[in-house]
Amino acid sequence: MREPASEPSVLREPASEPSVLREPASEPSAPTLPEPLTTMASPFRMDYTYVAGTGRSVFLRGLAEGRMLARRCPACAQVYLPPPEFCSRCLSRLDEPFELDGRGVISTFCVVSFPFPGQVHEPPYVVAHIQVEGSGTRLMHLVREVDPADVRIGMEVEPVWAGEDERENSLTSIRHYRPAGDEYA
Amino acid sequence: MRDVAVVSFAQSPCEAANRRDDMAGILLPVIREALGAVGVDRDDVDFFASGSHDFFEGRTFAYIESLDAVGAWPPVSESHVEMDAAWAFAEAWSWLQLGEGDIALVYGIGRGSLAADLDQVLPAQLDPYFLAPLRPHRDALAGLQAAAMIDAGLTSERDLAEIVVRSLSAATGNPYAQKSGHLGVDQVLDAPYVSTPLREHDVAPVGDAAAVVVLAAGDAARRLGDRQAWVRGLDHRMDTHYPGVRNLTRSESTRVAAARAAELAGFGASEVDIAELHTEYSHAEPLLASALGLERTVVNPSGGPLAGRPVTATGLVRIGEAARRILDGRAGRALAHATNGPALQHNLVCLMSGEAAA
Amino acid sequence: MTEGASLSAPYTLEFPFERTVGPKIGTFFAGLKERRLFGARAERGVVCPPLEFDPDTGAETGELVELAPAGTVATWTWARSRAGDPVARDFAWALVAIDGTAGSFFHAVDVGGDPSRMQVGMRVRVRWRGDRVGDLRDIECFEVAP
Repeated sequence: MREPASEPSVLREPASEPSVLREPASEPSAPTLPEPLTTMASPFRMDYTYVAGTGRSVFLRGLAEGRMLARRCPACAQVYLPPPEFCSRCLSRLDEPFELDGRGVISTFCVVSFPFPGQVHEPPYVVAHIQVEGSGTRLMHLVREVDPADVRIGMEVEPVWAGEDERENSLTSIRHYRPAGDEYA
Repeated sequence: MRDVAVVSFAQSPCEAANRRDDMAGILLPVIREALGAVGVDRDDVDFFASGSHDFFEGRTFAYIESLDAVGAWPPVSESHVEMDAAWAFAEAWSWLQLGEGDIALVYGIGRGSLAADLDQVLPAQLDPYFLAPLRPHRDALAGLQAAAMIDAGLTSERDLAEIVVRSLSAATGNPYAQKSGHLGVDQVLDAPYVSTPLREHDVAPVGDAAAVVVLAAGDAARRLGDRQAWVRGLDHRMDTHYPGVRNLTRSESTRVAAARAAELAGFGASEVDIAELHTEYSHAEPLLASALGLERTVVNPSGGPLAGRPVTATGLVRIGEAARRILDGRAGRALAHATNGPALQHNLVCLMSGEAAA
Repeated sequence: MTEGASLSAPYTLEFPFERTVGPKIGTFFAGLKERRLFGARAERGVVCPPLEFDPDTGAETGELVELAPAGTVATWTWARSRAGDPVARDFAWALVAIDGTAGSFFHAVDVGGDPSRMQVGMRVRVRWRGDRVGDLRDIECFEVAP
């Protein structure tokens, strides 16, 4: 809440006659109106429960075990990574999960150069869509251990896993991607 | 006007708290059921319209997750309303009226259980200057409305208890209901107050569910089944927001919407066999019945929202339940009502018939 | 594998919004800071709190007029007090018709936690907050007028 600095904040007693209206401001005898405030605080705080869903939970539990789990649509053969529970093309329930090694190529990327509140990583850093080998969808993750200026679409990359004791039901179990050994050694 | 009909309806059971499914997981089986019942493939759908609300989901643009249940690739024509999905139904109906396509799928998803405390969330729908800063309890404005109605002699606590008893008893025949049972009026009147004069059972139990309605136009509708619930008239209107400048004992917006819908339909609300009303509180029933001119009509044969309120799917369920009774031959004409906003601020009236316009 | 229970986790959203107010609402809030209550002229009469636009015509509301901070309870509902509520014991949410206005003002009424003291038509007056900042909660609540 802000108050204009010029406002002399004189307190007045409430009007003593409950049923009488004062004259409108345009009348000569009218009370002076206070200087209007221009803004007000309007905060909200809300607590929620996030429900990952059955499909996403399969993937997240796999990450805690250091495994990247994909699933295939029995009808159209599309392979999802991360896999939902149902194929969004055929509306079929996906088949049992299977493991991929997570290596792939960068299908697109951007370099984040600006700071923002709550930022976890020091800019500049690279966020990429990675086409994991064996999957028909793309996974979003960080690409590090490379100068952002050297990142290219089509670059081969591999996941860098967090230590076993640091892994949890989260994409942070993969610390980031990095150029795959051969290409960038 | 183009002949447009509801040809299929499906819903998921309303659960107090679904901790199993994400948005798409709740929705997808319901979409499959609604499309499967009339043999429509996803690729045959010309338009998708949906309703849900970020403040219930707890994320911005939350509804895009629900698109996984219909697929966004290849690109589909779709639209979303950040309100009850009954308004998505209104948009799909208009879209078909414009002749943009022949088949539309409307889905609503409502998850009231994700917010840990709806008292934190529901003030976000209120005037930010004069209402939200006070953080009224979630049922406070409804309590004021019910109190105003009793003061005006329009209903009584016993009348409201009888509505609760009838609704929960009707819901014993509804496998999707969250709450049902054969209660006594005195038992209902013994329950504690939530916000006087409203007691525990006067307030719809909030839950999680999805609903899907398939709309089709003209010959496409006739091809998809033996019976159709033709949407003969639809309109929605809004009252002003601040409760202090409304007459809370009347719903002028419902009355005007019903009059306009009747003009389009060629028959009025008083001529329907059944009415499904979006009553989040028991006192809404006499208020709406008065605005609609209902007298001997069967109200909320499904049990209505007092048997389960999956927030932003609740209004679309009313349309589906009303249409279903035409589709299965139990009703010739039906009315569905949906609402948004505090104390019945915004109201939609849909009139349906087993017969298309002459 | 697909039958396993879903993962879930709690989280919190916070929106530290700062909101602009209209000219009449801004004056109204500035007035509250000075323990003064204003309404705006509208077609149906003076409305308090003052809306920027007339609820009947949609036109801009007219002049602001100063009102005595007292009125009559038009409707009320009894509420259990929660942390952060205007009154620290059970209280009524009410629509209070401010004297000389058409319509009513939504706020809390403190009757010492006793709902039997609430009556439609009872006289109430504003209880001002000590540390006023220029928003609606500069009115702590309404209380029974002696």
